[in-house]
Amino acid sequence: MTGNRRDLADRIMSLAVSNPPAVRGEWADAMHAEFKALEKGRLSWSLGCLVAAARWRAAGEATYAAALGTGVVFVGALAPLCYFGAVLSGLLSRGEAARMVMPLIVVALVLAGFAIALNWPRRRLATALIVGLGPSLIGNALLAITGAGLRVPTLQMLVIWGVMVGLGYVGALAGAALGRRRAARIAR
Amino acid sequence: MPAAPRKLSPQSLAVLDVLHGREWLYGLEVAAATGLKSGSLYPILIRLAERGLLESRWLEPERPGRPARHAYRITGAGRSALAAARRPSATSLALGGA
Repeated sequence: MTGNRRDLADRIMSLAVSNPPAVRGEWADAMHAEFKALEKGRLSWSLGCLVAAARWRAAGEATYAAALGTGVVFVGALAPLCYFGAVLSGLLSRGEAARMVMPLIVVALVLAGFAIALNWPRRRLATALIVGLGPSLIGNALLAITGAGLRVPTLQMLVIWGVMVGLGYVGALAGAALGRRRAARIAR
Repeated sequence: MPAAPRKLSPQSLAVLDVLHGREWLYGLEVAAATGLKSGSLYPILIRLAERGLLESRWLEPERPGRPARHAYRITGAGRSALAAARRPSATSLALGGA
């Protein structure tokens, strides 16, 4: 194998095994170890590994997007569902049910951030941004479409968004820490 | 009624077949014996490992200075799955006997 082809194979292999999804880390290392043991066919091996890694990433992205979507729906729907459920079933008065809305939103944001970052620890900021802003943006868009838009001052809205993203980030930090510890335990 | 096990692809069966009756094999050895490229081999190995049909471990290098390598071995469940796949089905027996 010429030096140029060898370099190209090395570069392709590095690209293939760089930053794999957490659950595929060991398999990326496995492919790389075999590559290092190869004398012939390094380019073809590295190209195959690149294809396999691209498939993992595509599958990982789809799963992450689905997890984010579920998180946004969870955060957006938990409090209203509990509110109406409690009021309509006669379990709580409207006033009592209204008092549990904010704590429920807080819990939902922290839980959603935690659960998603457990599996995608490196994406905690993106997770917090989407889980924190998503329900509010979707809710505001729906209210605007139906003409029932709330007139919330911009500064107040920014503070609310900041708090929501912050809560999602707190959950994501905890989830990421636990996720890394779990990955380290499996690797051992 | 228990769910029927998912059918194994011919490539997956080829991998199990190569691992059958042998000790630990490296990825390169499985690839050479099956003719599978790395892009097909690793997704199959992952699937088989996730289904408990093979087990994997890191083996220390034979020569010093070389990295440890991932090796694979068929499990009891893998042997059963392979035997079941090799067995002619009831349908084909009936057709063959007609």
